Parts: sequence; structure tokens; C-alpha cells
Amino acid sequence: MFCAYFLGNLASQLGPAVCLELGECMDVLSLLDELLRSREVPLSVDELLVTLPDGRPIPPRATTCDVEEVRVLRLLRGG
Amino acid sequence: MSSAQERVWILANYSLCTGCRLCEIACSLRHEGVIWPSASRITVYEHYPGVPVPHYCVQCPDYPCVGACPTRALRVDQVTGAVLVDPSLCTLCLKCVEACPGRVPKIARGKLHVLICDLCSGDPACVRECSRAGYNALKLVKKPSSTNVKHYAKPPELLAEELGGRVFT
Amino acid sequence: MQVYGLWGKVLDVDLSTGRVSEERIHPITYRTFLGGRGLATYVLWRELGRKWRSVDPLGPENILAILTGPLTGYYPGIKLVVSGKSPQSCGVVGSAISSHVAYSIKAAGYDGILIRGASRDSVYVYVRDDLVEIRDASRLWGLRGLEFVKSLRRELGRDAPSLYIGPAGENLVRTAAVMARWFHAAGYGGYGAVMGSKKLKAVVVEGSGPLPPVARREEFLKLRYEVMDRVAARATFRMWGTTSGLWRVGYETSSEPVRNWVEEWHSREDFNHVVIERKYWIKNPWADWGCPLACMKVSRAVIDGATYYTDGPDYEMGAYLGSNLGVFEVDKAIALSALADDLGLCGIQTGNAVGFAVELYERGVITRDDVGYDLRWGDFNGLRKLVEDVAYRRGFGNVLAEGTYRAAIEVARMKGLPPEEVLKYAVQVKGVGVGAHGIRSRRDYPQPVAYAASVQGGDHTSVAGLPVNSEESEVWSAFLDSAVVCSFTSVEEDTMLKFLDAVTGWGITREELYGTVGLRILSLQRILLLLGGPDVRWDPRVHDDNPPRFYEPLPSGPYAGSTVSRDEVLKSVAEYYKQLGWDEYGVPTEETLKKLGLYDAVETVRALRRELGAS
Repeated sequence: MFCAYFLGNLASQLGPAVCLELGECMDVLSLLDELLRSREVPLSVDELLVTLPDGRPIPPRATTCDVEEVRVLRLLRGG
Repeated sequence: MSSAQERVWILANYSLCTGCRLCEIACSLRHEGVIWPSASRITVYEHYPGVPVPHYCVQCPDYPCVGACPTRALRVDQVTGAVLVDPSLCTLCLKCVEACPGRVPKIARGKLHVLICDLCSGDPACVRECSRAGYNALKLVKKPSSTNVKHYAKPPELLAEELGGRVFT
Repeated sequence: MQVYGLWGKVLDVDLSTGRVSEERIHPITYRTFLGGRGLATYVLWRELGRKWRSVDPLGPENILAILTGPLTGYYPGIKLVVSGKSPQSCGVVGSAISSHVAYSIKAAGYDGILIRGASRDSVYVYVRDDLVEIRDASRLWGLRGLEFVKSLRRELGRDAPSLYIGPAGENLVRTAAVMARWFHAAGYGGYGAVMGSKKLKAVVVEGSGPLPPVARREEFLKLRYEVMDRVAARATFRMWGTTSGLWRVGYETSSEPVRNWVEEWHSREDFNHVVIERKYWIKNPWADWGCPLACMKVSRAVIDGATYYTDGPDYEMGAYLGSNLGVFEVDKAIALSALADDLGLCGIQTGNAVGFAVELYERGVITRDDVGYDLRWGDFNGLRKLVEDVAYRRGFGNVLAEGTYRAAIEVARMKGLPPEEVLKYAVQVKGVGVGAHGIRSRRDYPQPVAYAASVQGGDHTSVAGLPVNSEESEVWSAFLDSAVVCSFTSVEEDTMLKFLDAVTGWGITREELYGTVGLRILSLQRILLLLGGPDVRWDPRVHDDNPPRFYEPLPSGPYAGSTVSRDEVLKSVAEYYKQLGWDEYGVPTEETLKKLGLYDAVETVRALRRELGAS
């Protein structure tokens, strides 16, 4: 089971969490990208902050087999 | 001894330069161990918005600075062709600055000799930094044989006028 | 006690007496308030806190603080913070700006500059390492931005990093910005007017030394490259900067101001960054000092034979001087943005005030007799004229030069209307026009509580948010503005704190950041905001709220009908205050102040609570 927890307005769009049962290891960022696209959230993963639940960065090229939970929020605020 | 044809040279693409000065930071980190733009051997000037002018020694074929130095503090690196400064001989008389077509040699507070690009022994930190940032405004190329390199050695305000005059009135 | 990443001292310049001195800042003060916005708040509290209400932001008593922070110059993406008592909110606003002055101050051997008093004649402050001079600015006074930069170069014989004001700041316009590098502005807070009130045209800093030593050099260098690589990979942001918001924030997330926020959606396909890129950008990308992101661009447009230069325009400027004024021709948005830059006006606050005026005109609340000419949505010539009139305080421009909030009260007085009849069109919070990111669609980043509970009012770069122990919280903005780095190059808290530790050796943890260090800055800002004065005061029961317009359902776009309910907002505000350890009015509790070591604020909060009739 892989869960993405959303903070801020992302939670009001996507719900506080999305949990998925996955049959294979998937790249975390690609998975989130697909999720955003399918829910029509006009953000790219570049603009998100994706971390482990304790706020540490996820390892580069992390897959859903490496990490079970991520915290997702808007990174670029303003402008 | 390598021949001039095999020497490297830093080519500036003015239109790619973002004016970020990461080159100055990298140069001072390499040579001085700290972030110290005034002691960087490369300087970016910007007289018009969006028209940055990276400015540094271009290794003139006739090396007027070397000839002008009364204390023989300057010499040409036989491998890279860079102008090397002997800190123990330089008296900061600034004759090299006068002789340079671009007034490139720099002085920095606390440094007792002029500062001139030494090409980092053939692997310039500024070029690496610029490429690492993905700007690629500075490129390491084979040194052109032509005296054309002197076009890059003009004073920065003249370069700024030539470049900026195209878009600013 | 050694301090790393900072020098441990600031310059102190008194323009009334001409006295220049160096002030040591204790390492523990830095550890406690970090720098930038935090240090500014500390200094203002220490020096003016006891008489805060009587301090006129535009009087000689006010202190203009120009401060760097421990990460300035080290962390990729440079900023400095301009602060003081704000002529907009009458609290403390940390107004961040990208400027070469930021690294140059450190290269001169200081962490910042405090400027007090007021000069009789126009001056500029010139700093070259330990040479500090107050110089005559009579030849520079009155100049607009582009001309000022040229003249300063002529006067000095070379380029030198500078912060300066345009005519707007000179004329004490409350929407005036402190400018840098042609198009950069510290807009929020209105500190351009503070400089003007001190007869200070510019601060020029030519630092020639190195940045101060860091605590752990190898780790710093490793982290620097790690962050650089991550930031340089933000490819679309580099390509289009924030200008891409002009289309996306409007069409896709319905949170862009359109005609004074009557709408937040537009479908004008030509009001778009790609159009601007192809037709108007003469430089892309363009970067600030040491920045691997390069979100800046330079644009040029020619209208009626006049040539206009500005940056992107970035999203905020393009939205506020474009869609918010009904201007959907990008060249005209560029021209108005260029005009604001050149006059030294904050594009956000000015676009907010001008949009407010056009709505009043269209509704007939004000007429041609008040303004002297027609004001219509999208009418470039009228709008251009009004922007100029604001900067020079001419005619109705003089009313708007007070900023939207004060202008609304004045219009109500002029027209014999109850203030709320005019304030309902003022899209501002606590004297600060709301940034160009709406809350009604909930598809953008600001939460419903964002502006209502912010200690910087409508500042979109310092929004309140839940949970308070995350990057959604205003504590995070306080941290970025106090370490003083750019929010566009920021990464997650964990890496930022590691970076801070490599530079300073302070060992600040996440718990400490949210539990004490950041909260301390925010709490002190909140107290000073509630003190306010002399001309305005904020009552949390009235003013900790959104502009009335944000409770009108969105009239158009895919989220038409969407709104936030006042009930929900007030509940979130209460929850936010509770999580921060503030009382029901957002006054930090005595227990919280003691936890934060702010013992000298206990009496003040008791008095504030008494005023609010709290037990």
C-alpha cells in the first residue's frame, strides 16, 4: 500500500490522502504526476514538495517500493 | 609545451548569459576558498537590463600586459597560455591594467597582487558552474587562432554599448 | 562567541544628525531571531515598541531596516528584506527583494543597515566597505528608475548595486516600493514612502570583501550544489517564470484578479506567457545574483511611439496591471508594469487601488468630476494617466496614493457614505492590498485563512495556513524571510535547515523552527500589528477577515458559484490561532510569550486583551 498525504488546498481538491494498492514498483514522482493529471490539477511535480512524513526529502528516483508514505504540498507559492 | 592550437579558451555567448554571476562565485571559491565576487577573475557587468557582459582575460596573442610589467611579475603559462601572476613580484603598479585593451586585471581589497584568469590550469571553474546551472553561456573551446579574440577584450562599457545599443534607445 | 554566515554587526545611519556607527548584534540575538524579517521585528520592538502607536511610519522616528540573513549569499537565490513600521499596515512587514545590494552589504562587512531620522535635503547613503557617507542627491531627486540608474552610474563612474525610490516614494505614496535593478521591487509594506519621508533617494553599497566564514565549509559546498542542481532542474519555471500564471491562474485555477476581483477567471488566450515570450521578450532567461533558476525575463513593448521596458512582467504585475484593470492586451500590461517600475510604485498595491477606483467609477460612486477624465476597464490611456497621478499625488491620484484602504475611507467621507459602503469594493486586508492569488476556487495555494490571519495582511508571500507546523504555515514564510532566501529556490524544510546549520552551526531543528524560532517572529509581528496606529488600528473581531468580495460566489469559469463561507473562515482562523498558542483574538498568550522568551511583551498583551474587553 502506498499513500500520499496532501496538505493545504491540495487536500481540498484531492482529499487528505490517496492510498493505492500497486502490483508493481512505480516511480513516486511519475505516479503523483499521473494522479494530478487524472484529477485535472494543473500542477507539475516540479511545483510540489514531496517528502517523507517527517519532512525529509524522498530519495532520488524513489519508487513506491522504497517509500510507503509521502507528504505532498505546494512548493512554489506566490509569484 | 603545447602549441597554441591545442590551447583552451573561454568563449562567452552574451545572449545566453543570464547575468547570474555564478561564474564569479565559482571563481572565487576555487581561487580564494570563499565567496568573494570582488576577487573573482571573471566579472559580469550589466549596464542595460538583460544585457550582461561577462568579462575576463582572453589571452591576447601579443600579451601586452606581460610586456608592460616592469617587475616581470606576469608570465605566460606554456601549457594553457594563461597569464600567471607571481604574487611575490607584483607591486600593484597597475601598468598591466593600462596596457590591457579591456582593463581586465583586477585588484581586490587585501590582495597584494593583481588578479588575472589563470584558466584554472585548463579546467575553468566558471565554465563548469555555468554549465552545471544549465546556462552554457561560457564554453570551453579550442582557442581560435585569429586575433579576433581581442574583440572580447574591450572595456566592458564599450561591450555593453555594442550589445545594449541594439535593443535600448 | 563566534557567529558564522554573518558578521555580527549592522550599520546604523542617522539622517537627522549625520551620525554613522556600527552596532554589534549579539550572536544570541541572531540565534533567536535569525536575521532579515526576524531581526527587523526585534529591532523595531526593542526601539519603538513602547511608543509604537504614536510612531508615524512616515515620520523621522521610524527606522528603515535593510537586512540580510544568515543564508543570504550562500543559499542559491538572493534576497534582502526591507522593513520598518509599515505605512500600509502600521505593523511590521518584511518586504523581500532580489538585489545585488544583498550580497554587497555582506561583502562590505555588515549584515544590514538601519536608517533613522530624516534628512532636510535629499541624500543618498553610500557605503564602500568601512567608508560610509551621506551624500547629496539633489541631482538624482525626481528621477524615474531607468534614468536614476543611468545617472548614478555617471556620478560614480561605474555600476554599483543600489536600492532606490522613484517619484512615488519621494511623494510619500503609500503604495511606493523600494526598487532595485530597474524592475525589482520591495513592494509590500510601502517602504518606498518611508525612504521618501527620510529624503533618502538611494542606498548604494559597494562591498569588496568576501562573505563571512561558514561553520562547516565542506558540508555547505555539498548542500549548495545539491540545491543548485535541484533548482536548475525547474525547467518550465526557468522558461516562463511566473508570467505563466497570467494564463494558468486565470483560466485553470480561477484565482486571478479580473476587474477588481469581480471575477477570477478569464479565457483570453492571447493573455498568455507564450504570446509575451514570442512577441515581447528581449531577454530570457535573466537571473539575479547567484541564481540557478533564472525566472526573470526582460520585455519591451512600443505603444504610440513610446518604448516600455520591464521584466516578465511577472505574474503579480501582469495580473494587477492587466486583468485586474480589464487590460487583456499584453503589450499594454507590459507598458503599465514598466510605468509602475519607473515611477517606483508597487504594481500590486497600485493595481489594487486603481482597479478599486475603476469599479467605483463604473458604478457611479465617483464620477468624471472627481477624476477629471474617464476611467474604464481596459482603457489604457485613462489607466496610464491615473497610475502617473498616483505617483505624483495629482487630483484623484492623491486619494489613491493613500492605498486602497485609506482611499476607501476618504471616498466615503467625500461622498457622505458609510465607510462599509465603499470598503466592500476594497480588496485588501489590514491596509495591504491582497496579492493576485484568490481563495474562492481553492485551486490555488492560499487557504481560506490565508489573508485573514496573516501578520502581513494581504501579502501573498506571507500567508497563514494550516497545519501550523508545515511549509503551509506563515511560520515558514517568516523563516524564509528571516534566513532571507528566495521562496522560488526554496526546498523542503529538512534540507533548508541542514543548509542553515552548515552555514551557522546553530542546530535549529524542525520542532524548534515551528515551536519557537519562527513562532517568536510571527508573535512579535502580530503584537505590533494589533498595536497599530497612529492613523489606523485593527480590531481582530472585525479585521481578521477576508475582503467582502471573497464571500461573493465566483460569477464565471469552471468554478462559478464557488466561494468560501465566513463561518468556515472564522473557524479556521480560530483553529490557526489555537495551534499557534494565541488566544481567541489572535493575541499571543502569556504562556506562549514565556515559552518564546518574550517576557517584555507580557504587559503589552495584557493591555491589548483589556482593550478587547477580554478577561
